[in-house]
Amino acid sequence: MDELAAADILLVEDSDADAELTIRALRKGNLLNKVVRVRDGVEALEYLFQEGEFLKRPGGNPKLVLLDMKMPRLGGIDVLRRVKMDERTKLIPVVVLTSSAEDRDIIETYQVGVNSYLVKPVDFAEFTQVVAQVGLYWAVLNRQPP
Amino acid sequence: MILSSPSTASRPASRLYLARGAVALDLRGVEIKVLIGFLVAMALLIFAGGYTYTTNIAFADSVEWVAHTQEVRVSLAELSGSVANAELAQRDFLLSAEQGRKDAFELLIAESTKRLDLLTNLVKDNPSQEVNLGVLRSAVARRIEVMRGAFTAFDHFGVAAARAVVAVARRANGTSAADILAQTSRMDEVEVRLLHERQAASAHNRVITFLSLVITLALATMLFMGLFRGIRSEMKRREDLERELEAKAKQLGESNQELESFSYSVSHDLRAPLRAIDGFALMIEEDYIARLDGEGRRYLAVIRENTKRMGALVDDLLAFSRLGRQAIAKSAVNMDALVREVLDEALRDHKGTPPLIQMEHLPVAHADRGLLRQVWANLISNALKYCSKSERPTITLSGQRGATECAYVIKDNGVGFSMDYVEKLFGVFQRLHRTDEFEGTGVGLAIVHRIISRHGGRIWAEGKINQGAVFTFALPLGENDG
Repeated sequence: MDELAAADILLVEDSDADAELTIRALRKGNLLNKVVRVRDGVEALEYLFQEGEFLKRPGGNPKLVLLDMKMPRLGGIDVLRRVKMDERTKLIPVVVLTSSAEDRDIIETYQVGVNSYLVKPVDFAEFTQVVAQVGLYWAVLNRQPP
Repeated sequence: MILSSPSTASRPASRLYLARGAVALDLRGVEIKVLIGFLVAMALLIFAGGYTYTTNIAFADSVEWVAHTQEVRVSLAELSGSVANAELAQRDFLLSAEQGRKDAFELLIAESTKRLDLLTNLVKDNPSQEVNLGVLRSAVARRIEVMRGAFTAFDHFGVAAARAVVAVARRANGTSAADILAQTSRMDEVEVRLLHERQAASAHNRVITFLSLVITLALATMLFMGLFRGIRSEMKRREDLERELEAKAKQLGESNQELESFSYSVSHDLRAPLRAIDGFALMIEEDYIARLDGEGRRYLAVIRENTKRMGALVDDLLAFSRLGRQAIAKSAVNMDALVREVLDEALRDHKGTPPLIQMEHLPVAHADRGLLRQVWANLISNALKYCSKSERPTITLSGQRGATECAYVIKDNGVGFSMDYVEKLFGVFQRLHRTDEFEGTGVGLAIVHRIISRHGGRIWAEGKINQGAVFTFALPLGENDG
């Protein structure tokens, strides 16, 4: 993997197990793109805006952000709001990948401008399928504005 | 915990409803009191108005009476004046024998007669004055007769004869101008007395009128003040009640909020570890399967099976708890279309012998379509599940519209159940079959029951072991259906 290039997919996930499962699912879907994983909302913003720990990361936006909702420090909805309000990042597709199937969350994230909202299935086979499809669609098939 | 929280949320809600009902009842009582108070006050005012009107008329009458009396008195004075002047004219004539004096006499006599006629009219309403007037009239007539006699004597025998006639007449019946004056002044006195009496009566009336008006108005004012105070205290009571309700509603909102964040946590935090268990078990299965013997593989399968079950339980419980909070949006629901839709979906996923479906026309329901869809989905999947082991699985759907509700029936010829356990059927996590016989979490019928009761309807079931089950639910008719 090219250490100098920016990530194709930014995975924002506090649970190590879920992160491992997600990355495995992406790989099983034959997505060989570079995935960077951060552990909460603060790290996600630092990565996207090249601040703090990620001050010197290679430039460029990821093709896709996979965002968990419930995280310590800064939650997914706040990250989404910041990303969609900033000129530099508002065009990045953000897909919420969460355990919560609450209507309230779905409505709120769509109001803020999420590109897609997916509920993580408990069944890992299903989960793999969902993640692989999402990765394939957004990181490979979808044409993004230049 | 999850089970009890939705019901605690619904209990304050029903109390709110009851409190509102009590307000409506009180309102009626207070309204009747206020209405009666207003009617009494209005009656008093109308009475006062009517009384004032009649006394006004009486006052106008008394003014008329005064005018009438004055007229009588003037006429009496004029009558006695005319007669006296006639006498003077006669005397002048006898002294001067001027024809002009005689003409004046005739004029004054005619005037007197006219006055007498006028007086007759004026005292018609008073019998005693009528009698007095009769006396006066004959006195005047006699007097005129004597005077005319004097004129006749003068014409035939000269002035001495005429004087003699006058003198004789004075001695004979004593009717003189003075007598007539006396009679008129008697009548005048009567009139004056009458006037005084009437004035006294009207003064008395005035006092009574004034007093009764003051009392009536005071009563009405007091009544209005009482009403005002009553209404104000009622308003204050309602304001207090409203504040109380608001506080309760706020409390309720808060507890709902808590409940929501609770189920949010359950939704997120209970599912995440399950996914990890399942995911990593699958990873063992995929990456290390070769190193496991049959027993190891079976253990893994058991882990994954139970993880899935736990996931289904969490999902169903969340769905169940959401039902308590979800608002119900009722509309006319085409049950035929809805059931066909649900059946198609259920049969698509159905494994095993396809059942025979018999469906009659179902009446339109007044309900929340999304929630009803859930009801049919659960009932139909239950029917499919429990008749899947029958030789010729059959499901019958029917419906009937009653006077107050629509009833819908779903019948299957599956394994049925014993009526001993019918009580448990609609409870959460209550199952009448083992999981290895029929899959399920035991939440489906609890959800159905909750949806139906939130619609104000009812549901019941009948069954016999190995002879099938019949589920019937009834929904109240909508306002537009009646």
